[in-house]
Order: sequence, then C-alpha cells, then structure tokens
Amino acid sequence: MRRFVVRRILQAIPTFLGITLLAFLLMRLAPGDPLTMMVAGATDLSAEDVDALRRAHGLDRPYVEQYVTWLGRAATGDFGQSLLYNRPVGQMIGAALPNTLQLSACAMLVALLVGVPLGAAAARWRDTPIDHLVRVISVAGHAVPPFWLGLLFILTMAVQARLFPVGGMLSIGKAEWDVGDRLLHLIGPVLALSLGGVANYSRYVRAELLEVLGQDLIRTARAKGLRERAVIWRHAARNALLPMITALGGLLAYLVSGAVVVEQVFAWPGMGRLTYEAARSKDYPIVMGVVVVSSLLLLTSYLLRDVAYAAADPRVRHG
Amino acid sequence: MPRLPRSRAAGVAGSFLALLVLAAACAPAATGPTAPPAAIAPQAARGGRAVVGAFSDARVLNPVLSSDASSAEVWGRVYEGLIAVDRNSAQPQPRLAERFDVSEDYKTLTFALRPGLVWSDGTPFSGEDVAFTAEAVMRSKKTVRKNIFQNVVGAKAFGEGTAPTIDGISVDGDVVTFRLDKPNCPALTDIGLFGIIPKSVFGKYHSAEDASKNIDDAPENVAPPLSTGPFVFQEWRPNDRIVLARNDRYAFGPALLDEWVYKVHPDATALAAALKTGEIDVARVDARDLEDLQRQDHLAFYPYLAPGYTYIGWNQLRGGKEFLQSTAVRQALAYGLDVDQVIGTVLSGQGKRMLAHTPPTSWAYDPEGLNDYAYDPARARALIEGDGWMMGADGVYEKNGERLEFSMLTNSGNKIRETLLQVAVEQYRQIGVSVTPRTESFEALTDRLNKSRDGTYGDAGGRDFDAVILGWNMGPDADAYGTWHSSQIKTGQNQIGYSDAQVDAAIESGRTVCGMPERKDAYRAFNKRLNEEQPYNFGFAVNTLLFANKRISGIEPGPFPNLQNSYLWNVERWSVAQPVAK
Repeated sequence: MRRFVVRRILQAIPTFLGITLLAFLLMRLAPGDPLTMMVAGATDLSAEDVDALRRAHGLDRPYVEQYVTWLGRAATGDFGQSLLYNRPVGQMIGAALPNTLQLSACAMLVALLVGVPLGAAAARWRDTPIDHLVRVISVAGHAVPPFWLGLLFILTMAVQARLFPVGGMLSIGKAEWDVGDRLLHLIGPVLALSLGGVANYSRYVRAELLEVLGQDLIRTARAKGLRERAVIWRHAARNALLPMITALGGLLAYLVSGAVVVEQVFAWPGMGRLTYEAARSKDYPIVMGVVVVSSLLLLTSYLLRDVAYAAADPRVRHG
Repeated sequence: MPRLPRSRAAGVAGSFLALLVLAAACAPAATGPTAPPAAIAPQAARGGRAVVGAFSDARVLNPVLSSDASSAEVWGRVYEGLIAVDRNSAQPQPRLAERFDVSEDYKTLTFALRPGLVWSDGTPFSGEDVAFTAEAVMRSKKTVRKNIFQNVVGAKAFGEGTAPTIDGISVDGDVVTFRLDKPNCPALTDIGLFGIIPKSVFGKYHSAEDASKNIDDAPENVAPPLSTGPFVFQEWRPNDRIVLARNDRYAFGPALLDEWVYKVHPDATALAAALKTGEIDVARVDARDLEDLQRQDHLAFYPYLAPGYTYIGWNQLRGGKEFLQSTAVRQALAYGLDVDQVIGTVLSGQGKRMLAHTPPTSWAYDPEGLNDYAYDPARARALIEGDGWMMGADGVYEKNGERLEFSMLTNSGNKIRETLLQVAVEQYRQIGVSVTPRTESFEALTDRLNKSRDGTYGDAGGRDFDAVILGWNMGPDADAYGTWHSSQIKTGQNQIGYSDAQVDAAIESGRTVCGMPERKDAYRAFNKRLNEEQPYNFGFAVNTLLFANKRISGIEPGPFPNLQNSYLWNVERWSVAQPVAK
C-alpha cells in the first residue's frame, strides 16, 4: 500500500509541473499585458518609463527565464508580489482560500446529503413517480447553469423578497463569526453551487444501486428474508460505494471550478473572485499562485480518491 | 489630460494636470479655505455609517503607487493634497496649503502649509512629509506617477541615487518650494493634488546609502496607519470591503459619520440590486438600471457630467485608407451621424454631444465659434462628392477604383460603444460610406492600438486599425499634450497619428504660458481647430449616474475630481438621517 501511495505521488509531480507550465504559457500568449492595466490610470508616461516598469517587474526577461525563476521561488513557498495589488500573493490566497473552502465544503455536503438519498429513493422505487421526479430534478440540475440559478436567486429572494443579502459573506457591522448572518449569506451560493452535484450524484447512485440490486448477492439477501431497507443500505449501498468514490473526485473538481462563477455572482470574496479579477488584469503572479493551489487541491483529491479506491479494492493497488 | 481608455466605467483620479494657474499667477495669495467646519448644518446628525458601493476593489492605499480610480477613492479619504480643485470649475483651492503661488517665470511653485496641521496620531504634519512624498515617488520602481515630479530640479538625480536630496525642493518652516527645470502649467495641480504620505511611517524604507531601497513593498501601502483626511484606515477584506473610521484630528473639523465603508460588488447590476435592498448607500450605476432605480422611493439621483467622452477616431496613418486624411470626408462623417439619437437611446438622455476635446464644464472651454455638425445626411453626401467621389452601383462612393469603405473597431462588452458602432454602420451606409463593424476583447484592442504595425505607415507610428470607438477620461487640467501633440504619435496616446501645426502650437502655449487669459486663448484655438478638422468624431460625454439612499444627506457631486473623487470631496459633511432599514 505504501508503495502504491508513493508511486501515485511521484506520478502527480509531472502532472503538476505540466499544469503550471501550461498556465504560464497561456497567460503569456493571451493578448494584452499587465503593464497596460498598470498604466491605465497614468498618463504622460514615456516609453522609457514603461520599459523601466517592465524591468522592475521582471517582465522583460525571456519566458523560459521567467518561468524558471518563478518555479524556483515557488518551490520555497514564495509566490511573489501581486502586480496590481502590491502585496504578497501568498497573503492574498491565504485570505481567499478559507472562504472558498467554506463555500465548497458546504456545497459538497449538501450535494451528498441530498443527492445520495434522492438516488437511493429513485433506485428503490424504480419507475414510480418518485423515480421520475428525481430524474426531472437531475436533468434540470444538469441543464441549469449555476450562475443563472444564482442570478435568479438574487433577483427573487434578495431583491424582491428581501430575505437574503445580494452578496458578500458578512454583513457590514456584524461580528466575524455571526453564524446566522453567515448562513444567510451562504444559502444562495451553496444552492447554486450544489445543484449540479445533487443532479450528478442522484443519477450516479441510482445507476450503481440498480446494477448491484440485480446481482446474486441481493437475491440471496432478500431470500434470507431481510427487510428491503436492510438490503439496500447494508448490502447494495456497500457494493455501490466503490464507483461512487470515483465520482467524488470529479465532484471536487466541479466544485472548485464552479465556485469561480458562483463567487463572482454572489460577491463571495474567495479564490474565484481573486482568479477572475487577476485573470482580467493579467496579474500573472496571482494567477500562477491560484493555479498552484487549486491544482494541488485537485491532485490531492484525486490521490485521496485513488488511495480510498485502493483501500476498498485490493485489485487496484496491484494493477 | 486623458488616459488610456478602459473598458470599465469612468474613474476619476487620472492625471492631475494643472489649470487656472492664473489663480496663482495673478492672485499670488489665494485666500483661506472654502470648506470651514462652520458649513456643517447645526442640526445634522452625528454618528452612523455610510456604505459606498463599487465594482472594483482598491489595489493599493498609497498615492505613490496607485494609478486607478478605485484606489484613489479610498486613499483620497486618508491622504490629502496641498491643494484641491473646485468640483465645478476645476479652479485650484487651498487645502493642506493655506496659500500657494506660481512665480512670474512659471518655474517656482510655493506652498504655505496651514498652521497646526497634525497626522491622525497627533504628530505634526510638516514640509518634510511633502518633500519625502516626492522622494518616495522618485525612488519607487513600481510607481507610474514619476511624471508628476520629474521636472522638479534634481528629482531625477535623486531617483538615480546621485544626489542625497531633491535639490529643487526646499522646506523652510511651513513653506515648501518646488523649482521646475522649465515652465509647466499643469505642475500646480499635478503636485498640489498629490496625496502627501507620512515620512515617519515610510521614511524607514529609504536608505541614504542605497538608492535602490524604496517603499514599493511596504506593508503600510495596503494598511495606512496615519491620515490627514477625514477618516483613518481600519480594515481591508480583499474583494469585499475597506472600512475607515472618523479622524477626530481632521484639520477641517471631524466628519459627521463614524464610519465610511467601501464595499465591493462584482458589477454594476449587483450594485443596483444592493442599492435597492439598502445594503449599500451610494453607488454609480449603468444607464440600463436608471429607470428602475428612479422608481425607488428611498433613492435620490445625482447625475453629473463626467469630464471625458466617447469618440470615433479616424486613423490618419493607415495604408489604403488615406481618404480618412481628407478633412471633407471627416466632416461628412460628422454630419452623417446623429449623435443625439445615440444619447437618447443608449444613455436615456444622460449625456451631452461633444464638439471638441475640452470638457464643456471646464474653464478652458468656449463654445463660441464651434460648429455643432447637426445631423444632415444631404450635406454629408455633398461634402463627399465635393471631394471627388462618385456614387457606385451598390450605393457606396468610389473614386479612382477605390471604395469609401473601412472597418470600425471597438471593445466587446461595452454596451454604449457597441450601440454607437451599430448606429454608425447604419447611418454611414445612408451617406454612401460602407463601414464594417468589428469588436475585440479590450486586451486585443489595446494591443492593436499601442503597436505601430501598419504596413505602409508603421515606421511613422501608424497603428493597426482604420477607425476606432474609444473613450477618454480627463483630469482637471486642460492640457492635451499626450493625446493630441504630434510628438505623441509614435509611442504616446495620439494613436490616430494626427499631426497639425496649429494644434501643436496651441498645446505648447497652453503648457508653458501659464497666465489665465493666455491659456484660455490657447485652448480656444485648440478646440476650434479640432472642431473644424474633425480628426475624431467627438461623440458624446456621459453623465455619471450617482444614486444615494435618502438617509444620507450632504452629497454634492460635481464634474471635476476634487480630492481624488468628484462625489466624495465633502464626505466629512455627509450625515445619516435615520438608521439602516433592514
């Protein structure tokens, strides 16, 4: 098992480097450059002034050198100084990451707590109105983009009904850990972010359960005279667990990427807002820092998934 | 003078180019402050909080490093300048300096500080802080504001580390003097409006031995500990809010509000929603939300004309489109476009036709003798035909096998510019001019605009477009050197490659002969020539659509950026009538 984990970690390293290289190149090759944004408010700057600024930020160096320099610093945990915000990238990510994790964790929890029972119900009462209802919910959940749901929520629940704030994560004047206030701010974005997960999970659980339910061991369990509830949760769910671990890794990726849009809609001061603003203004150090942190998160979640998979099924780790 | 076009709404900070130096030249001793604490109405409530909404976060709270309007909105409440400008006329007024003076050769600026000025912690504010601010700019590697001080004698030498101080700045008790290496009329407002930072805080980042040491990465840049403004920095949650609290030692009397909050929402629509729900008190919004917000009983509407305009620029250095060099054709393109229709439809009437470069509210603007080019398609066609063009079979003019046809570019996502583009294509078609509309991302457009890549005129500075729809935001001074002087074609902001001896002469005069009547004459000639020549279709100026909750009183916006922002200039006199309804 240890060898398996070590092997997976070693395999993750080139993937990680590849991601950073690709992100670096994409940022550099896209039109526009950060200097344009930096001097946008200033005039009378001569070409020499702009060149001096370029040098001060090291943007005059060849791409290879810039990337290697960045990589060397990043290896020591130094992601540099934001070009536009005049503060360390690490500090900015440090402020934004907990907010995003808070949002993503809540959304994932909701996706699981709602999605799994829905899927199980659909499998248990297959081809009944319950199954059809779950299908409608999940098709809608796939079809409705989170930002649209978010905007709809803001329009109806915040602007018209005045039940929720239009955005942010903390009302002005409230204490940092006012739980009621935080929940009010969380409900909209969590709803928008978790709907896709609910849809995904309910379909997945239904399909897996139905497959397992058709197997011999279930017939045996039923033949023993077990109640249906015990058959589903004790025998079927356990066997359906394995493929669901795979789906969990995918869900995390969905939540991390979906958060960019949802955070933007709900003015949630997390990684998504940070990324969006940084990408708009070509703030390379922030974008690279965000790429590192989110790809580490993602790779870690895949690693955990694989390890869990291996733990659950010995065939995997010897494969 | 204008700055780079931005895809987002107009900001204000801009370049603080001087104006009305006459005020100083002819009346050497300007009189006392115009905003005495006594102006506060006795019944105005004290206490409470005002929340100002914006759709982009500040970047840095230090005038040395800031270049964007959002940052200036916040640091402008914390660091005041030596002078302010009148929000309506842009006339310089005393602020931290109670008197200011420009010498007869226009090369020496003198500022006499108000007596008894203190920072928010009670330590004295002195001329040393002023001199240090200039030093901080000259030593900074990341500033974009060097142009403000680099004409001060010895500033460059100090920046390069070859001089221990800036020779041209002298501090004598409460009097600070700046000597310039040549006359430069905009310098009074450039230097006078610059926010002064505390030497006691930032001085430690400089080193007498090492000129490469600077304040660029100081943590105080994002958390200013001291203030000369009405508020003191409290807290910054990135992409969420900045909280400022009242400065009880403010020189012009403590603010009525306890707290001033800068709240960030993702876009103008979100701001409008937050205004409706009462989550924010004050915000500038888009025209599309205007009607909806005007129906809200709890909101008051404060429109004001922003100094700037949206224009169509005709590239004078474009291979194959040399017909744009013809004044007759450009005048035809002015008569052939109904700008008022665009103002009526896209801006709900919240705009004003521009006839030349200088904002109509400025002291430097004189409408006398400017042609208004009222919409007249027949006249447009006559002008084109007078230039030797014949109507072709498909309704487009032709001359020597060349068609009167070009592309018009703007950045995607800007509703106002996109609509102007549509209307221009349709209306120009009616006068026999074929225009191909093109939109690009702002980044791609800026790239095309800033690089001299035209096949024929690239060496002369020809940029890669035929016609472009963009906008300028302008500061308080009338100087237009960077946009219109022919020296700015190759690398500056004269992206259309316009070169005219009369315009050059007027700009140079307006910059170096600083008497008020002389400057007025210079800009009258400048605007008249541009109006006649039509190197741009000058398009329109747009109202800033400011809404505020009626519980806030004391808001008095004006067009010119006073204290870094045109509606926050008197924030210390804002008051809250009743508690937040929530």
